[in-house]
Amino acid sequence: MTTLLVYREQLKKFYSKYELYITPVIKFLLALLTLVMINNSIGYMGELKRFAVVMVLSMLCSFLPMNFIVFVAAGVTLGHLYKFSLECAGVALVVFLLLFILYFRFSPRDTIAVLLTPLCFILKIPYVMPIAMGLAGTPASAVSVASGAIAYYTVSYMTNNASMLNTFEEDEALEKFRYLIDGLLGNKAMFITIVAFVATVVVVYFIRRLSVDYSWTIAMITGALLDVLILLFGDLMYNTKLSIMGVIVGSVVSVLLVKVLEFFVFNVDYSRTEFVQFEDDEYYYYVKAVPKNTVAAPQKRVKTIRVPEKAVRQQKRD
Amino acid sequence: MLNEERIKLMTKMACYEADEGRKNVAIGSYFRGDYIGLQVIKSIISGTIAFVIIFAMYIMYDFEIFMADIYKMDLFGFAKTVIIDYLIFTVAYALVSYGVYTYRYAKARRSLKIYYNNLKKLSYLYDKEVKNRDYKEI
Repeated sequence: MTTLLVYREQLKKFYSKYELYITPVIKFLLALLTLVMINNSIGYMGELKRFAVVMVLSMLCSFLPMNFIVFVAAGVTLGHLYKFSLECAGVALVVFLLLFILYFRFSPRDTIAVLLTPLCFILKIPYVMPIAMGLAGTPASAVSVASGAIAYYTVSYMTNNASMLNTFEEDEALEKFRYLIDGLLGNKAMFITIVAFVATVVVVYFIRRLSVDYSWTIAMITGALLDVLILLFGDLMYNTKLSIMGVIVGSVVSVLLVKVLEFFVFNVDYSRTEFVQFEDDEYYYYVKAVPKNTVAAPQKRVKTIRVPEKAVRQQKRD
Repeated sequence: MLNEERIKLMTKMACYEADEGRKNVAIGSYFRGDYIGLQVIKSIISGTIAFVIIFAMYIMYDFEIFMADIYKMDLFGFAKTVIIDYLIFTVAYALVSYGVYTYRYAKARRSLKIYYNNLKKLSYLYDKEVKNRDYKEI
């Protein structure tokens, strides 16, 4: 445990020193991972899969704001779907537009959750997201996680039914469109997942704010159990063909991952070096403000208990 | 002469301005009613766009039936239901955004209060410095 704590302090120091370079690198890697995953799962458009295109887009994301990655991911997804079928691209565009117009005006900060949720779905550990967002965010993050789930299920429905969608003739655009809408609105697995995730985010959020010991750990475990319970219950009621083992193993892995995240990310103040400039009447100031790293070495408290001599003598006499 | 205390304060304030302060200062430059009103109007506009999109999808879904029935159906009644749906949707959305932005305005004001206090302190330090300098010159 001590080694881990020391490691965390070192990480913190390293980050505050090289924050200027680390953040773009992280953004670049995230963008690269996102694009590679999208290309692997729905790679219909060859042009977008080219190494140079992927690299240039990731480079762009590395120095533009975080939300730009979401736009790039949405754009690339639409490009692939357009190559596959115009109707699919249209439906996906409408879903993305509605999410964007109605929700992301409110919380541009949470946009990243929408990107990470589908990524976690592809990695088979979507259960990380509601727990992590409940710990790090607010109850409003539930909407972000739900939006991510909607985006994932929309696209995955299209790719899973690709062969069926290909059987439609050119002049059957309306039927194809109707088939897509029916499929999306009748996707019970999606609705159950959304209900489970929203409930998990809210429950985790409220438990972690309780003033009891280990509230974070209790929140994680309760959240994961609730998630599994709702998913299994939904499976029983609507027969969503859920893999029970997958849910349980995924949840266990998710709780462990969130525990690691808690240790290294959520509870640590990664204050970074700030560069600011200002002026007064006489000077221009270019200030580099470096955070003081106060390593919290556990303080030893020695308490001496002295027995009064009088009492000792008394004891001897007895 | 460099005044260390003043530089520390200025640095702190510059950090705030560069990060969350920028947004809060922008919010704080509005009156409460103006800010919330503007945001609600924006919400109504985006709500309208969203409704139009959903309505277009709905029409497209039943396009053939809709075109076949268009001469038979009660267009006035249809328009009435659509308008009522639209009003419910937009008003609900506007109410939610009213709540969100009221909360945000209050939060930004609270955060700006500390900033304005620091500004006062800064001006006080500055005055003191100027006075000291004048005194020395005399």
